[in-house]
Amino acid sequence: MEGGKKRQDKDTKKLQEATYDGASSPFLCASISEEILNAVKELDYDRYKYVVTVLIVEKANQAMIVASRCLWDAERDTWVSAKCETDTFIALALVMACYYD
Amino acid sequence: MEEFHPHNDEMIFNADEAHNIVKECIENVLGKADYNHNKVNQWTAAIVEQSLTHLVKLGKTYKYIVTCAVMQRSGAGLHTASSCFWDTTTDGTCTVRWENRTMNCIVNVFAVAIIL
Repeated sequence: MEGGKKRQDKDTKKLQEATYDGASSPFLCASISEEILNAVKELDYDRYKYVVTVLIVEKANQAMIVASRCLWDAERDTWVSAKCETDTFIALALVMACYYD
Repeated sequence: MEEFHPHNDEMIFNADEAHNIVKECIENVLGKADYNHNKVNQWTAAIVEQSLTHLVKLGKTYKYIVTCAVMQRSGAGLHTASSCFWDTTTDGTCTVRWENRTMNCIVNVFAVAIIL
């Protein structure tokens, strides 16, 4: 999806200033999720449902793996992901779009 | 004349059912294992694929998206949030959190209805 790049930039700008903080990160996470959803809705694709997932992980020398599988129409449905890394945390966003009639 | 296909207003995502299915899949794969960097790839793929297979066996006309995150336990914080733009009467989501001594696992299931 072409809109992917736009979302990635939006992500990055807002997050670069933040440092990981146990208290504020849940709100940050939820607000980024809403923002991305709004940005995607603005792209105004016809007949698409969206799912946006955001993960914020504190960097503490641990390993992490994220995997996903989707059962959908491979010709009509698609996904995009963006990652943003700072000194204290990593933020990962996944956007999935499903066609419906 | 009888109609055999489900009416849209009767299709509701059963989150409890999905929760149980996914929990079982995680237990099967991770069970008593300790975090192992070489195996993590296989594990996440197995969890996601098994969950998807079982969800499909429910026989409902849904598209499924399953994501799984496995993290080594180190006291670090992890936050996840999701927003969805869909039909709230038919579509739904379910999140399963699981942990053992060495790792945390979070699985998200999103189900988007297919209208026939």
